[in-house]
Amino acid sequence: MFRRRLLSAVVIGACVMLAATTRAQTTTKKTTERYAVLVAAHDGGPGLPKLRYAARDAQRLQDVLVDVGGFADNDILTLVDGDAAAMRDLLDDLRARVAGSKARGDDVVVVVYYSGHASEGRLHLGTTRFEMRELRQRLDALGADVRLAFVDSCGAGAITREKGATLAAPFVITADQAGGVGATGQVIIASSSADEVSQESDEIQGSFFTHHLTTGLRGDADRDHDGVVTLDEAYAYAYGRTVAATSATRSGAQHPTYAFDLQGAGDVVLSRPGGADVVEFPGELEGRYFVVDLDRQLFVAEVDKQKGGTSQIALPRGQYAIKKRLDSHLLMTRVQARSKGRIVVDDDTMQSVAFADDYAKGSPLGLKQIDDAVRFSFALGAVVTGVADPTGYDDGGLFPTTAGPQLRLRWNNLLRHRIALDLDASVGVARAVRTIDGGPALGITHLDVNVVATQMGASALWLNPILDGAVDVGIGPRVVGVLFTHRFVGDSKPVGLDGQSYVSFNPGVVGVVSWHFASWAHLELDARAHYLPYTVDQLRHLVSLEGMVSVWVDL
Amino acid sequence: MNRVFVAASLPGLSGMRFTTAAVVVVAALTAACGDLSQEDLLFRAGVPGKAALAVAPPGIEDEVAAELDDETAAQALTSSSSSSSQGLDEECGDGQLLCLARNLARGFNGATFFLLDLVDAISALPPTVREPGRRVWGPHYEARTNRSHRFEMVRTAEGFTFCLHAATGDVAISDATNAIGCGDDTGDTVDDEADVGGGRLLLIFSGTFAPSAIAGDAARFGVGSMHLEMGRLARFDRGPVQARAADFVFDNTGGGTIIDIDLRGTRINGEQRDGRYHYDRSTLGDGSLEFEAYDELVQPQPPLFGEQQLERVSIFADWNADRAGRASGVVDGGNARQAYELQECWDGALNTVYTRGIFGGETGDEAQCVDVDADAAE
Repeated sequence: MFRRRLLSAVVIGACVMLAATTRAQTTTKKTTERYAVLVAAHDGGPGLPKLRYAARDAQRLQDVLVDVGGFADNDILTLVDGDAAAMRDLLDDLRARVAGSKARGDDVVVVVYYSGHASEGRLHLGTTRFEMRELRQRLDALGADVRLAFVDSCGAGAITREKGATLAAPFVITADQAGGVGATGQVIIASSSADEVSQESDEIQGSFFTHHLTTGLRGDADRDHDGVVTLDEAYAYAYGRTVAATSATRSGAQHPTYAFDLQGAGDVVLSRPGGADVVEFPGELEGRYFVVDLDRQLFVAEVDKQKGGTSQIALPRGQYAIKKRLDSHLLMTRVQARSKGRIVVDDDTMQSVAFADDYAKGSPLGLKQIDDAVRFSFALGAVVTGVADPTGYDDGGLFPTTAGPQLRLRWNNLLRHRIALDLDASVGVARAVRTIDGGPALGITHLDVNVVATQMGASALWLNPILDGAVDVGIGPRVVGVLFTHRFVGDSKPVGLDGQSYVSFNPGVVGVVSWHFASWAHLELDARAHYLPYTVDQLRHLVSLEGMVSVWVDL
Repeated sequence: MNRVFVAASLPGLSGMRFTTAAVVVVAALTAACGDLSQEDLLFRAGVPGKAALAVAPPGIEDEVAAELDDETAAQALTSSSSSSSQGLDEECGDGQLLCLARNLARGFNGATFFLLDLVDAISALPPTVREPGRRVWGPHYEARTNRSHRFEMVRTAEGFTFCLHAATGDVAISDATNAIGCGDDTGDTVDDEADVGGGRLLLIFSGTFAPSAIAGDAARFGVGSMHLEMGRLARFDRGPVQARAADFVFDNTGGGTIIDIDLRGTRINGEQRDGRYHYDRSTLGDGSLEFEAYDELVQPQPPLFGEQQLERVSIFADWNADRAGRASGVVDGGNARQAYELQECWDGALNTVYTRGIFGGETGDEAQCVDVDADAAE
């Protein structure tokens, strides 16, 4: 489910880098100490929805920092759902640690990360607020050589705007040669611009920005395959993937921004995935691969592999599943990451697994990468409509069972996440016999009639994937306007009458079951029931029942 | 046609009480209207057609057929007279009894066709009231004639009753919907008049009808009766109809047409002259017409000083399937000091082959007269 994150993450600090802060290393023998403060706040106060994945985002970044960023677990300070005072305490603790390291003559790299709500230049920590301006001031005052901050939240760009943040394509940092850790200074990266929302997704179990940032740091962002992911590589990767992933969502595209003030030599290195176990996706592979930590059943990374280039990601020690979704089944393989190994993914050696037998549930396997994207579908189908008359007034001639084609249009996620708007139009025809009971005096008369039922309807569908997204089930309300026309045929016609008509607007419910037999199409069975008021002569309460099958094209 | 009125605009919804808004929304979502009713088809056949009541003695069959096919119904509401009333009487000579019969038929057809056209025009509109077993149309106001019409039909055990009321001026529908009508399904409690809706609705036409069928060629034929308030009709604009009321009893069940007509309140030269008429025509075309007519047939005596009076002519005409026939009549009253017998015979081409005039003068050969009874026996 799509989720808006009002401020989700500031991170200051960044990721990773730590390891060596610069690629073009100086000749200094100094030790580089790396510290991080990771803050996650699900609750942004009254009136704001609770975030679902803030802590998971922070955890994911922490894993990356430890696995490939050169951070020690005990140098990462975390705060989950604390208040502003607790965050200040944490930053005070960080400052003390930095001061200690500097007193020992070490270089210091600091990463600060925030995931949570934010608005009007303030981070929301429960009911308390933390000014972004204060955060910048505290960063400036830390005394660390390199200070990276990541703010993953709505309007996060407010923290970068103050220093001329750029809502633009990724940059390449070229720092002047200097001593110490090479490049020194401050970089702030925000998950969105000042007036944009940052978004969470159930599919990726986290925010778009942090998801792509961490995936990139694990190696997929390593453009030049030199074994390190630099700041510009990570930003370019996270920027491009975040914009692409959010461009089709209801909230619109989310553009990460940055502000930096660096001096020194070369690029800032954020991670060294080449130093860990590496999973390599060779050039001939193509498609979307998901990596799941089997021990924690946690989605780790997603690699959108294009044919041609090689992608690789670093994984810490552990058991993982790599899986790729095909139209009818999965390809899966288990890998054991130890240290400094290389695991090459090969589709041919992966096991074919039915959707129902997926043993790595932690990854998103929906057909769509962005579950909350507004998507358009259309369908052609056949519909059969019958009318039940508990009053017994109609013997079937008045509202006979009709059958005919139906055209349908659907906007998924238009109303809300997983709430689709359906529009449909159909024409049903039937040949029937109207039986007119004139009573004892007039007797029974049978009249042949051609019946056409033309209907246009609109429904809101709440769709839920089951069986790992292979099947959707849904239900929702529908209102339909139906025009019934009867055209009398044959030798015997009523006096002066060629036909009759009846129009009604009927509320009802619809239930659907969809089978996604291909990534671009699905087969759907629908059942509908509507209240049909019959108001001629007197009000009678009828029920129309419909069944239909349709083939959908998902754009 | 039923109508559902949704009286709320969207901007107003915000200020409405929730329950009111809910009612409006539900009403909008369940609005329905139409004419798709089984019983509607019955009512379509609930009034006799013009063909069921047409009087067509030899010589005007084509004229009557043309009027039956004439699409004047839609114009009836906006015209004070239908095409049926346009048929011109013939100038009948001495002893031309068939000519008198045709003129009489034109008179009856003009009145009945006018009313049936009017009813068809009104009932072609959506009913104002649509209830099981009952339909009401109007009152519908016609500005040109400044008249309102209200038509009602009620299903009965035998078939239908119907009644047409009219009023001068614009009578409001809401007031007149149930203030007057055909009564219950016994069909014998037709309201005669009522002051409603700003006007005085008067009964001008009512009847009962048991149709032979409700669809197909036999529809609108059957057995029934009709009552015409001809005096009221004339008062509206139908011209110098002398009878105050007419009662029709008709029967099409044998495939032909049998009509008995009683005229009441007829005044001729200041005298009450009610009459009874009988018309019978089989599916083959043979038939008979028995009627009375009044005409100036006998000169007063002495001719220059006496008062010209109308004589009564009691006529019985019958004809065979080839249209050849004979008519015999008795002239009395008026200036006639004795009863005179008249006779006319005609052949299949409607050429007169024999006449015997009022004073016994003969033309043609009586032997050429057809024996209609014998023809029928064959």
